[in-house]
Amino acid sequence: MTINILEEYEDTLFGIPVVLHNAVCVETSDDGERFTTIPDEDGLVAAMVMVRALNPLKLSSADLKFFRKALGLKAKEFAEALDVDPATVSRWENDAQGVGGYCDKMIRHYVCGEIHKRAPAIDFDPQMITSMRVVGIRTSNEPICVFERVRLKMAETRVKLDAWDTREVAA
Amino acid sequence: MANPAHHDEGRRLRKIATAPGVLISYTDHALERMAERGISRLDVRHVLKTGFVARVEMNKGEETWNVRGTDLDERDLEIVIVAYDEVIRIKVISAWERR
Repeated sequence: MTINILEEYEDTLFGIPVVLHNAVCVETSDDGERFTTIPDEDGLVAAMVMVRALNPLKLSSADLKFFRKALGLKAKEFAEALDVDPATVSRWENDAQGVGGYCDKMIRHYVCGEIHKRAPAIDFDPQMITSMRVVGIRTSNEPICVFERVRLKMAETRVKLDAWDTREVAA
Repeated sequence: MANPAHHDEGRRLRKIATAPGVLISYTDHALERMAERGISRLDVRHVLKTGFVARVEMNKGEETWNVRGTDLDERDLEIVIVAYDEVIRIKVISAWERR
C-alpha cells in the first residue's frame, strides 16, 4: 500500500468545481486499486458554499442545486425556506428561468446564514452580500473554489482546529 | 423499508455516516461511474446517512454492503461500500441509479 498527498486535486463531483491543495490523500493497494479521500468533506462543502455565495458572479442552476443539497433540502423544502413557489426552484435548477437580482441576493443571505458557522476559516459579514454588485459574466477562467487546509486557533474557545480556507478567489 | 436481516449493519452505517470527521474514500471506479451517472458526492452522503443496507456479501476478504435510498431529488440510488467502524471510514466501491 502506498499513500500520497496530492499537491493539487480538481474535483467536479460536488456539483460545482473545486480545486484542493496539499490535502487529498490517494492510497494505492498492492493489487493496484486506488482510493481517493478528501478530509473533512462536510467542512469543505460548507466552505465551498460560503466562497461561492460571496463571489459576485451571478448564481447558476448548478450553484443553486449545490446550495440546496449542501443544506440537505429537497426542492420543495428549499422553496419553502426561500418563500418561493416550488415550480420557480424547478425552473431555476433546470435553466428554464434565470435567478433575478433580488432572489439572487436573498438566496446568498439564506445559505450563508445557515452554513457560515460550519466554515470557520471563511470571513463572513452579511454586509458583504448586501453591498455586493452581482456580475453576469466571468472575468477570469480561474476556478472560484480553491482551498487548502489550515490550522485555526479559535478566539473564543482557544481550541485549535483544522479547517478549509481559500487559497485564492477569482471573480 | 429497511431489510430487517441487515438491521445491525444499517445501525452501524448510520452511526459511521453521521459521525463528525467521517472519512469517505472513493475508488477510481466509483468516481468514474458517479461522473457518468450524474451522482454527486452530496447524493452519496445523503443516501449513506438515510438509506438502508439491502445486501451484504464478502468480496476480496472484505464485507461489502449494498446501501439503498433516495437522494434529495428523489432518485433511487444504490451505493456499494465497505464500512470501517473502528476508524470511522467508509470506502465507496460503486454507485448507480436503480430504475
